[in-house]
Amino acid sequence: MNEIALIDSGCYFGKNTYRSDEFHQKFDLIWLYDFPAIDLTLYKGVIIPTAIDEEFLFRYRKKLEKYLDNGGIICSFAQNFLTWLPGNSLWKPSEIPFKDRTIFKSNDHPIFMGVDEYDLNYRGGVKGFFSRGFFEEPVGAEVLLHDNEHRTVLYIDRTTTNGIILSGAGSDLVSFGVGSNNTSELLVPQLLDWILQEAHGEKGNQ
Amino acid sequence: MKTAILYNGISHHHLFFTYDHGKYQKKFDEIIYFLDLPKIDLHQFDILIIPSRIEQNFLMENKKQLYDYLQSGKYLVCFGEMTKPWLPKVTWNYCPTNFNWWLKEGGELKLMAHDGDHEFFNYMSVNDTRWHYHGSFVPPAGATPIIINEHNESIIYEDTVSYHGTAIITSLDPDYHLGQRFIPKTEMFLDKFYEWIFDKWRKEHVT
Repeated sequence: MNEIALIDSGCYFGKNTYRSDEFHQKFDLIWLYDFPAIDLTLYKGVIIPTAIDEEFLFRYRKKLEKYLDNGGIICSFAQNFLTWLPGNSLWKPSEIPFKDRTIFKSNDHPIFMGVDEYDLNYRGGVKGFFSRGFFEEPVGAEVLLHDNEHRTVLYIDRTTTNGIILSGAGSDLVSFGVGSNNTSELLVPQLLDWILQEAHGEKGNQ
Repeated sequence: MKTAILYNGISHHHLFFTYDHGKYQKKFDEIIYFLDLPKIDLHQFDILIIPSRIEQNFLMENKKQLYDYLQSGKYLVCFGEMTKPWLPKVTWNYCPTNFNWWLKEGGELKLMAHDGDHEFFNYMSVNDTRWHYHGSFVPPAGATPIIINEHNESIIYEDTVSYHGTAIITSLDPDYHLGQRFIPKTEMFLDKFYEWIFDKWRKEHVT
């Protein structure tokens, strides 16, 4: 059993990334529809990818809230359209054409250490894969990524609950860089390291 | 004509249905959250759309219901990957996605009309179907390829012979990309694609 869980609700994407054998060694893959029976307290961190059934998550939002109030860590990359994640403002699409939109690192957070901004913005020379929208971050949240209209693309919220929420506006750190053969491949190991450091009280370079 | 479409609860479907003040939501009489499918009587519908990215294991679990619906003479329209054999007679071939062909010198996505006189081309051109695809189909004997790739595999085909109803199968995923606000040409494609299907049904059923 791993210390980190990833919740999956199917959909074609994820087949070659977090559902691959390699990833199974890094976290437990939980089928969303088994979620009601899962004991989340067994996990230090829970990852929710972009392609997640929010209708079902919304039904069980109290379970997520309870996990957070007990000090859990949730990393969500959903484009939230329902209010199942505490403090989240719901996703809004960016009005900037993708070719003109650029995502920037907002600070020197360890999750993005060594990751080139170019590699966040382009896949095979095409922009728009990483994030297509933004959030209004909760009061007191730390912004890790923003766009060229200073809209928040990824934040960490330590104040809304007793736990930690990392929320990316569709900027899916567990699938974007996998197999890219560039610096975005650092995202998965550095995200997992960060979760475990937070869970074990080692704050790292923040 | 009564129409329905499945919905997977994921943001790309939500954003598809709510795009442009609910333009696509309004095209259907019912949007069926996929977990509710087993308790729905599909026979009340004439056309059922399976949009791209519906969980394939779920479709496998409910394949009898979907097959019985199609066998009752209705239309079943399927988008995107069909990685599990939930519909008989469908043969899916995976291929890597050539998503950036337009950036390469001399790059092209080789898609062609199988028969340029097919009524489909009254609604759109081959070029309107070109963005990328994640796989293709080998239609069964008697089915009609519409858009094919360089390997003579179908990207869009219709099958009026394998079932009592009509299956229209495409590996294209315009609903996903429209929901993601990614690849604007998918809007015109979908508008015309739905128009073709709805017109086709009306021609066959309305006197």
